[in-house]
Amino acid sequence: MRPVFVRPNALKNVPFRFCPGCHHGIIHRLVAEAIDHFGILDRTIGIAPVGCAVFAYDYFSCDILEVAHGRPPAACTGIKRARPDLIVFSYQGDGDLASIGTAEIIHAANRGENITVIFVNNANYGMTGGQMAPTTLLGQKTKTTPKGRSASSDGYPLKVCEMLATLEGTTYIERVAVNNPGHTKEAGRAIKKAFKVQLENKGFSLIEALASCPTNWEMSPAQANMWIEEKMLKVFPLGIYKDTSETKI
Amino acid sequence: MIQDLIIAGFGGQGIMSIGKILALAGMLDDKNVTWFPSYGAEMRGGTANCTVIVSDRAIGSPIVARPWAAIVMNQPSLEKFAPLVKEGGVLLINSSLAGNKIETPMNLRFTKENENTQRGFTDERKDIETIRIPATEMADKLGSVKVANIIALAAFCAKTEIVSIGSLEKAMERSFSSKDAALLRINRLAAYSGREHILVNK
Amino acid sequence: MTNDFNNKRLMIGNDALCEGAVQAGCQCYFGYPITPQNEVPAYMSWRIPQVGGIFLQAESELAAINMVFGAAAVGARAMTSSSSPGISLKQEGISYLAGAELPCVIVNIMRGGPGLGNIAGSQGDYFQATRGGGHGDYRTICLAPGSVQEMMDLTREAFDLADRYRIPTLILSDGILGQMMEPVIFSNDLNLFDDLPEKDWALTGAKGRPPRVIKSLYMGEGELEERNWRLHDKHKRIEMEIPRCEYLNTEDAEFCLIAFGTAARVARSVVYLAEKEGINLGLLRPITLYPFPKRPIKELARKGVRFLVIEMNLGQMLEDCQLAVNGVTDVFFYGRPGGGIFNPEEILKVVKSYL
Ligand SMILES: Cc1ncc(C[n+]2csc(CCOP(=O)(O)OP(=O)(O)O)c2C)c(N)n1
Ligand code: SF4
Repeated sequence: MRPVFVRPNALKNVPFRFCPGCHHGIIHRLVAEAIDHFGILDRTIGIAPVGCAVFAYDYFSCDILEVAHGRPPAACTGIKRARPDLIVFSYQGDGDLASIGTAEIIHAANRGENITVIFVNNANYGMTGGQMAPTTLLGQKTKTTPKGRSASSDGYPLKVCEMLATLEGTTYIERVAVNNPGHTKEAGRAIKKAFKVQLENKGFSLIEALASCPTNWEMSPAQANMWIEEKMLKVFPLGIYKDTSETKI
Repeated sequence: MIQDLIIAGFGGQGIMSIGKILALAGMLDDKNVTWFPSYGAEMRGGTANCTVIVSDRAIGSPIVARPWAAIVMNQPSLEKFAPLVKEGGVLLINSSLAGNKIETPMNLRFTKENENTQRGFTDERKDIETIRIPATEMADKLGSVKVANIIALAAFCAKTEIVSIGSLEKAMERSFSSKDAALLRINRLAAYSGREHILVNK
Repeated sequence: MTNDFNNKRLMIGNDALCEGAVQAGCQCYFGYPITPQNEVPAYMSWRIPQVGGIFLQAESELAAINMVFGAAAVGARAMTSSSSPGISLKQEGISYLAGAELPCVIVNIMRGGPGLGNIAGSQGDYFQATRGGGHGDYRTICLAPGSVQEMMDLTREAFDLADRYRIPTLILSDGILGQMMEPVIFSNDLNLFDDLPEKDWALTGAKGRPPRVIKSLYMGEGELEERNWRLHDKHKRIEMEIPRCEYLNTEDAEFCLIAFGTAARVARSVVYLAEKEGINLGLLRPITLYPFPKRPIKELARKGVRFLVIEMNLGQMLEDCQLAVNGVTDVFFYGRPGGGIFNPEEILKVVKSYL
């Protein structure tokens, strides 16, 4: 009998310890599937960010470097410049990538570093207990926006894909979600594409995955999936924001 | 006199709240008090504990390795903290979820951990005073398993007289003040039945 | 829980320090989430607007400290808080604040390090906090609360000290003091300096006066040296005027513990234990870490008192104690790093081994 669902090689045989209904687990799996798909496990370096995904070092079976808050794109740059033969991906939350690490992501993207960035947007800071992130929706209540985020004091949800797509240095930018099977399938395809771009030396790719944080949103997993569908997708539409992979040589 | 205790159980059992209520009651009694929670990543595991100290003198360390007493609301906490209670100390066990071979009521079998409660508390200590109170069942009878914590706290206070009844009541009222009357009522009932359990069995 | 009772409230340290800032008239708070100080921005997010102040979650600690730089430059009382890794990021800004002689308050609720470390309370940042921390030849006042009450009171006082000396002032605390609850007395008789200097340097708009410049760049021949000498004079003044410590049972003790913050709380328990066993053990608790209370330690040493320094690190304040004692008597050390915490029995055993 042929198994239809097995653990990817790129994941260790340990259970995820994310909260129930958290999308980090699904996104980890999709990344692992992409690594398996291209057979690059033995030359891939992953970045564990500061955030709930810091424990990536417990889950991925490739080499992992834990990096200071917001600095993964710079660390990736260092790795890739020193060893262009390695495949490098960073995996970052929205606090990490879009707040403290905005400078690093913009400049890595603008330089067109040949790296793959997985950007997990769960509209808040998960690990520290649910504070406002740059991607928090207007009106969304968090620990540091007790009355809801207001544009006048906290600005607007930061649209990373839209912003990075304007940079000439970037090659492939797509926003995906994993809140239902259809979206998850698309997300898997997108992540593979992002790795393919790097494998073909075509430059910078970033996949933004809209993700749930049921714990800090104070929702059930099902409600969280609905909230993504009904609220997040309106502010963060899915789709390919940039693809110059065919024209780049 | 320095009285230090650890209160422990599952997250969601109101462990932190009864610790705060006790500390507040101690403060209302004009004692020195500290309350210290287990915090952060520790809590992801689903267990919670806090340390409360009530003392006549300025308090030193807010953390104690060997407490004078412990209130344990579930089996893992019993296993972890019962051995740490100092000789001559007091251990209050929520016997609905820990240390007893009782049948757990159907509606309370919601977690895997509850299965452990069937294992019993075998190596009972003879050098401390152990109080068993089926707090969760009693709370269920009152209409909400959520008040098991208050039952346990009230029983503990009745037994040890760590704080005065008046201050305990005031502390409870202040902690629930912003919430609805029904909640306050059931918590009062819980406190009463916890206290009664001790006084009747004295 | 906010319960008023004879002006007493049961509060966690992190909340109490916010109240201290509010009492001091702090006008701006800028912060970034990090455990175990998350309660500070969460509390400030609703509390400081109530008194007309500004709360802003910065995009990073680097940004937060530079927001403080800006607010302080225009004369506002400004504060930021973080925990160890975030404080490292702020060091660049702290160096600029010190160079520009801008008053502000910076709170460090220490956790285990180095690197990302862990989130347990620790005292691993003593060197960083008392030696300046960033680049250049400078110092910052550093206060170490030992209770929730002091989290409030010293934070309030920190604003005054900062203004009095035009210097960044640090509150060096840790996750344990930040997370624990104790009763706090809200006194009506706040002990505030009323003789604070005018901020006649603040950038308020050059209307009817010559323009002002606040800077840390001094390229002219000998200019920076002269400025650093001035800073040095200020540091000397601070070292004369504000060192502070607390004594417990030191009168007849021949052996004395030295500890700050949470470690001093454990030390207090050790002193109680020793009392019970009839051992004469004292405790000296530095409240100001910079300026370090050298003289009281020196005086005890002259009387022949020997010391055990205990810290939640591997021996940092130890060096200041050794400098103060200067070989006159013995200075022993006991510490645990990485968020480890000792218990009183453990320390009493160490004490006995030296008696
Ligand atoms: C310099 C520094 N500042 C702050 C922190 C505390 N911190 C840990 S995780 C985190 C944010 C996590 O949010 P996000 O990146 O959105 O990831 P998530 O946890 O939601 O997956 C922060 C601020 C830190 N570790 N280092
Ligand atoms: S806190 Fe949020 S992001 Fe972190 S593991 Fe839990 S659900 Fe996931």
